[in-house]
Amino acid sequence: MRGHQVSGLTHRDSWGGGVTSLLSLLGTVSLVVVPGVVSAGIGIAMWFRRTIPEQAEKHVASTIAASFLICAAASLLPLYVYFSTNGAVNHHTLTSWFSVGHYDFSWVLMSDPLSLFSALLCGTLLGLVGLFSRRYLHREPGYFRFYFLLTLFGAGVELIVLAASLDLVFVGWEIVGMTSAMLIAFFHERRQPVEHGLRAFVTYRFCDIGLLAAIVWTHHTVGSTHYVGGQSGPWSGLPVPESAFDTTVIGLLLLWATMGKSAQAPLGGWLPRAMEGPTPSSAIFYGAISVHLGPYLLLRASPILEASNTVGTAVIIVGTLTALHATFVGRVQTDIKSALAYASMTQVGLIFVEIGLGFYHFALFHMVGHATIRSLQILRSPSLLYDQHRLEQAMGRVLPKTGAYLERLIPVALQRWLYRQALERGYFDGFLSDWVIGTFMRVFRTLDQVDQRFTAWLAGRSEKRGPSPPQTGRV
Amino acid sequence: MVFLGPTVLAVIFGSCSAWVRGSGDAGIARKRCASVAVVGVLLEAGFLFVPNAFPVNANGWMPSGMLAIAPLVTALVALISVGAAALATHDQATFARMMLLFAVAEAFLATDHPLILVPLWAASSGIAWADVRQRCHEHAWHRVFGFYHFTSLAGFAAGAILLWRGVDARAATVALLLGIAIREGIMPVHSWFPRFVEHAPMGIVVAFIAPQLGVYAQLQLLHQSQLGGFPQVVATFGAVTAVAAAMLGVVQVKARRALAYLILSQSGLVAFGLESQSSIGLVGALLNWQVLAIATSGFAMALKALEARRGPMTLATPQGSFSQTPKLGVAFLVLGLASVGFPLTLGFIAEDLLVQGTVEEFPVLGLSLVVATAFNGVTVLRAFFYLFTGTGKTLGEPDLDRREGYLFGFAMTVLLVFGLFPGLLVSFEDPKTEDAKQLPHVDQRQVLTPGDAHP
Repeated sequence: MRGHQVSGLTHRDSWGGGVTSLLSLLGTVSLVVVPGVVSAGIGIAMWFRRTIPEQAEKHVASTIAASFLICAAASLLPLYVYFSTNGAVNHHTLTSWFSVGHYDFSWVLMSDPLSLFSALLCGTLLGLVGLFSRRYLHREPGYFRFYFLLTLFGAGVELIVLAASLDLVFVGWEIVGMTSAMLIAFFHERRQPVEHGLRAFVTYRFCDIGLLAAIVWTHHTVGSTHYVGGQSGPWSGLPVPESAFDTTVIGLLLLWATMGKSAQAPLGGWLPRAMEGPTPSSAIFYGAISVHLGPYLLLRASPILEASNTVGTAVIIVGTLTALHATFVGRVQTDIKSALAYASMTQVGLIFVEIGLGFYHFALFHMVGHATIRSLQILRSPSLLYDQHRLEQAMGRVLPKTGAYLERLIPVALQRWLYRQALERGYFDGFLSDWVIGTFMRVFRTLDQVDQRFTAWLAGRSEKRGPSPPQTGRV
Repeated sequence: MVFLGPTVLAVIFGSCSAWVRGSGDAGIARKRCASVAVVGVLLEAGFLFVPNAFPVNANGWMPSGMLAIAPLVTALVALISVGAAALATHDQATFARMMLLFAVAEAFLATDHPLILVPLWAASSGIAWADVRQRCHEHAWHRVFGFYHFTSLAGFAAGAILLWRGVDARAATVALLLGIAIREGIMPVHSWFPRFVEHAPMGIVVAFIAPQLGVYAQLQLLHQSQLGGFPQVVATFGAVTAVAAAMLGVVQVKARRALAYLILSQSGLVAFGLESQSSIGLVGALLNWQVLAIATSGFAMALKALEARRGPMTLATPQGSFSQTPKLGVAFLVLGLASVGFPLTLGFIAEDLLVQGTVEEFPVLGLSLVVATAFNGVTVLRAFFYLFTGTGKTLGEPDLDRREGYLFGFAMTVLLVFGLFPGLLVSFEDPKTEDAKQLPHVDQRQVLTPGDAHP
């Protein structure tokens, strides 16, 4: 028997039901609260103590890794409850965050298989990356900053996967976007990482418009963004509006939102650039978790995809375009992290296609497998040259070139043209930079100049010359 | 009616202004101002919270509803801005003018009588203009300021007088809206604003802009007198300002101009939300007003703190060093993100309520606010990256000192704590909005048309 239970602080049916609800509540809440509290602790410590002794490195890293592994273990509690209660989905209403009139924003978490398996996967991978980073970032000046951002990211991710409403998803979604940009710009002494971090953030914000607009539209049409069961689709998901038009609009807005976070074409140019960050963060963000949040959101929106063929088709088109583009461009990359980034994009594109076709469970397994293997590959990538040398020494000769089967089928002249196209990343980045962003900048800078000329004219064009007041000095 | 809490503070801040003018040193002036501001914060907190804790008759102490927190927030802004003001550009006279501006703001919040508000409106503009004129070393931009604010004063005074006499409601509304729009920097009458933020001392900018007297006037004169201020027109101008200013902020290469457009965008959001007929949208707008005051003031003062260390700053290329000024960088980022509504800050609550409350009434305009919020976030992060990262060189810029650390830490704490637990602030919900809530449909609200003047 499948059903929905409202549990936690508000409702208990019986003693046995109370215990299982409490177990589920504890497990679910700790998944979000533990990383949140740890990140707050590190943040406060960093604010009050500029230099943290090196000896603390080990303890901080171990605590954080342990907290994530505890989270992973904690997710087993609600999983146990779920299976022991014959698949009853628990909604844990913790408290109302704020409410005005009929509008209420509550902290409601949900434990169903999709959220719990995702939380288990995220907790495990975050814990392992936390352990790995202890040595990888040893004596790095931004060591504690890295762990602060990692735990904040962990809290955001757990919030996204356990949230029972799109409102709460947005909170986690923004935290993930911010921490991602900060970690891309982790090596802030160089300009490139900073510019790439900003590029990623701009893409995120541009696509967050879609998520926020979808939330507002859902409130406007349905009245709530809380996930509901009993609709088409294998698990609880977004409520479907009555009107087909509204359903399509919300679905397309959600697709727009996921395109940024999951680096789908034509907005995926930030992903290879994001590899400027520390390798552990690249692994957990762009190999394992962050890029899969888009598909996760689409899985939660499966009732909308079922209800609107337009949305399903759009998801398939975006996924196909991304998979083709990324595999094509990935073939000409000369550094391992960029090649892995495009490989990630390819797989996430395929996951989009699977979701668009309605193979939700298949997509879920694909996500889990891809997240695990890709994060491992990225973590191993700095050792690739070492591995290559070791292999060559063992074989006693240079490794033979492999692959290039498809290339043989293509005429040489066309190969060159395709090579150039791939090298230019299909001109997607150029189009976005020169035509979209460039045009925007030119138009608004012109408007700003017109405004400045107008005020200069108002000032009478008489510019008094004299010494400027001192700008720097005592603070 | 005159409210006791803000009146007391207006007197104290006004006296402080006279006191600090005779200070021997700018440092002493800052200490005196900060001490008085602390007293002011404690007093206002007392006026606000004592009636809740003890059975005293507090009728007439503070304005009703969410307006009750405005005097306390203004005192907080005074504390942050005078405490964090850099001595390089703030002398005794500047501190005196800042306190005078805050005194006028408190006096403004103490009454709702149109004829008292007019001289206060004039005084506020006049004090800022005097400071602007004194500093016109390179440009005659005080003329721009004077032109706009004289027009604003004329409009506001004409509207207030017409409202008081009850002659022509339509003319009163238009005149008041013109005066308020100029003051709030609503497009297209905003051109004085970026110049002002670019050239004036940051303390004066904050003291003049942060209390948002125009918002209070819009609420007290247009809403409470039930004139009905062309809601669709005002909401449209507010939303256009919010979006256009957000987009203009992204393309700026001067840090101060980026800040100016960020503030303009937030002002547009508030102006838009105030025209909402729903309690949710109105509470969102009122909260946004307070967030704009605290977060944007803190953000502006953090920018000033960096400017005092580095000099004029450009956003053309990354040119800072986060490793040397980590606390300043964090304060800048957190306050900036709070001002644009990042989750877990008070700004998020305000913007969420604003968007959710207005989308039913103004679907297209409401959704356009989402765009404004997204672009404002980009402006903040771009400013952070370009000002605090990009070089590993030793720039010789000290991090926050203890005084600055406490002040920015306090501002961040307020925004984060109330972001996590906003119930206390939301509980001050205006009774007027309660009335609106009772109505099933927006159209049923009893708003007099401009032809039915009833002062």
